[in-house]
Amino acid sequence: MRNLFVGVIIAFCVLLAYRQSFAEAPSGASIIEKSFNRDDGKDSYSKIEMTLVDKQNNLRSRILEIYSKDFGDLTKTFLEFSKPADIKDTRFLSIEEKNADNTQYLYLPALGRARRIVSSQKNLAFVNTDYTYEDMQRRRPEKDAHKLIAEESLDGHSCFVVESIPRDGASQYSKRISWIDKESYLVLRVDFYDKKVQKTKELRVKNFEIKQGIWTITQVEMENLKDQHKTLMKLLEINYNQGLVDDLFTVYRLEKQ
Amino acid sequence: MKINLFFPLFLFAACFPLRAFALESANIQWDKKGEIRSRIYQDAVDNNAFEDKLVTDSMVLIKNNVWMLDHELLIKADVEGRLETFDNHDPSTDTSLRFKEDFLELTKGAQVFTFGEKIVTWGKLDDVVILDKINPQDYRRFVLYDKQERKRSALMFKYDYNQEDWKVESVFKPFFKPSLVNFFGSDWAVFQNLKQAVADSSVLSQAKKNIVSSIAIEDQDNVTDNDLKNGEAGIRFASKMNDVDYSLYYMNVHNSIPVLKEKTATGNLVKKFLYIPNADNLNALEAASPTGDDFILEKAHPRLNVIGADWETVIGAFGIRGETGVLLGQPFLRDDFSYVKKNLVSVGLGIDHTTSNDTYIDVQLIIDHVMDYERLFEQEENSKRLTGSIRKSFKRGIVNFNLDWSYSLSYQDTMINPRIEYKFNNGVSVSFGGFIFMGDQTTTFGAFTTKDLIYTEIKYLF
Repeated sequence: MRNLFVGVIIAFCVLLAYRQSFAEAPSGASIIEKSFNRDDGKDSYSKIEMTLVDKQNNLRSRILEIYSKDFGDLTKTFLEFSKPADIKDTRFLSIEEKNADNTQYLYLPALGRARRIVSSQKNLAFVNTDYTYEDMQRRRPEKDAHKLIAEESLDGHSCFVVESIPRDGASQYSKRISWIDKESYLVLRVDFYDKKVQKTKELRVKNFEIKQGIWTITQVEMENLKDQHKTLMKLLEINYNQGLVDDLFTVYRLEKQ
Repeated sequence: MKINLFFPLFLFAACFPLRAFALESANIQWDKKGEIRSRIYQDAVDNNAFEDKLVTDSMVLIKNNVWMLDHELLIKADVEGRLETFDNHDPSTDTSLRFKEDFLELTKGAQVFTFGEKIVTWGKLDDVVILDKINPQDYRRFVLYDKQERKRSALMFKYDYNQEDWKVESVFKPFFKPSLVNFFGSDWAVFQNLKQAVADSSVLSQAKKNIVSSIAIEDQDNVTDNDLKNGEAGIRFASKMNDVDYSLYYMNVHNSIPVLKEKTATGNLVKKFLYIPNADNLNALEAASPTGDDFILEKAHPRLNVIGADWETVIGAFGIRGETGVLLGQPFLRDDFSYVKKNLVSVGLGIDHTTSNDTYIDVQLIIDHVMDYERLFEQEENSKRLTGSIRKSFKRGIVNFNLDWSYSLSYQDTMINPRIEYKFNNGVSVSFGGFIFMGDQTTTFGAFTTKDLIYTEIKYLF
């Protein structure tokens, strides 16, 4: 009888412990939501050195400046290349839309005006980097079905591993698997899978730190596994919450000298 | 050699980096960039003794943007030096030095005030002019350079008012500046080397030679004078409705490309011979015994009222854009070569698509409709032209292929311009390309069927 009592108590405790741990493990969706909504400032300016590395290890370097600002729960991003000379003054404006594809404009100095980027172009390489136009925009959590598939350490950081599958198929990827740091909620690694569910690209954060009170990625590498080509990005300068003017995120500014 | 008076100031500034450093330390940013470019054109086929077999066109362009950040003031000063050599039977060189764009631009909140020599780009079509009429163009090298490169800056006051969802741009040009067109004496002149060919002819009589050598094409002084009554203005309202970016336009401008206007009725025979230079037309001109003003043709730039709209959107995997313009008072030549003004409606539609293998394709259809039509020279009541380009990059943008083309469905003349470029890592690129022209002698591109060429371009961007 005593053994039975002890057995019931143990079973109850195990059940309780299990329920407790189940309750504590957040869902994939809530992890992605928390990562998406983490504090990244109301606005930001960053200067980035982008280096293209081919499989023979030849390097081509570029400098770009990125301005980003929240408008309610939507974000607008303005990007401008300042080096080298052949792409200097090439500019890109992305306006996030809630229930539609982002509206994107590209300004090429040779054309003298901005041009809309069509949906199919979002699957293509952004100015010959390993990022596509789709990669250049924030992906809203509700566009994917998320599932927590593991919790593991990545380079000494305890991470959630979340699988995200597009709900409507309107993506160049069949799925993404993201490693999200439990402390900062930064995405430290993403594996991208093509429509044949083959891993095609890997994004790896090489360094991150707190800047002006905000967790900030300072070095990241995107590798195209098929082409054995990499794009390295190194943060040269960052400023948060500078009060960027709304006017910066307009087609007018995109076309301005 | 044309030297702008401001050039010494620019040279002083450009050559003293220490001065620039001192300025930058006072919250002034100086952004300098530029390019050195040299093209060598080789005529594909020897057709006559007058055309150039080998031409070099070298250019240095230095662009300066000086921002006075405290005052939101931009000072822009771009200068271009050019050296061309011509290797025909009379070798020559041509040098020029000019400001490309130089203006002051003051931003005060939503308002932007600009004064100076500026280039404005309006409309949504590539390399086609329906609404992009604020700046004249330099056609002295025909279409060897694209529309943006051909544009001439023009003195203007520009006022912009910008809001998040809409903007208004207004332009006032106090004086009229025409497009540059050569009529005689070069491969790309409208009448090419006709006068020279007649003068050197061994079969034509001296009387006929005298007639042709007496033909003169003059400016209409009252239009090209720097007089405020020749001023031009334009206004553009741009906004977005649903997912469509659109603009509405009104312009009161002069037709920047000259159309030849006769001073006497016999002048029409002169024009007929120039446009269709055959023995019959020369005989007819000689039979009319032209004298004095008969030989003089004026470059007419009549005033145009332009009402128009453009739009751009994305539908699925295609970018769709278009322009429509109603041009009131467009000049033409009648079938008998007399000068006449008509109203013209131009509609352009462009479609852009990038294929899954990253090949960019752009096709544009332009339809012109002449209102109150009567028989015109080189112009049907409804004419249609297709233009387009194909671009493909290899090795992540190191090797780039580009094909521009234009084909008239109405007149069957064609221009094809393929080009391949290799970019080195230090700002240097090398290109090889060519131009092929086909069509009837009286058509835009057909007039240059003997001018097919290949070229090499070396460019250094810094």
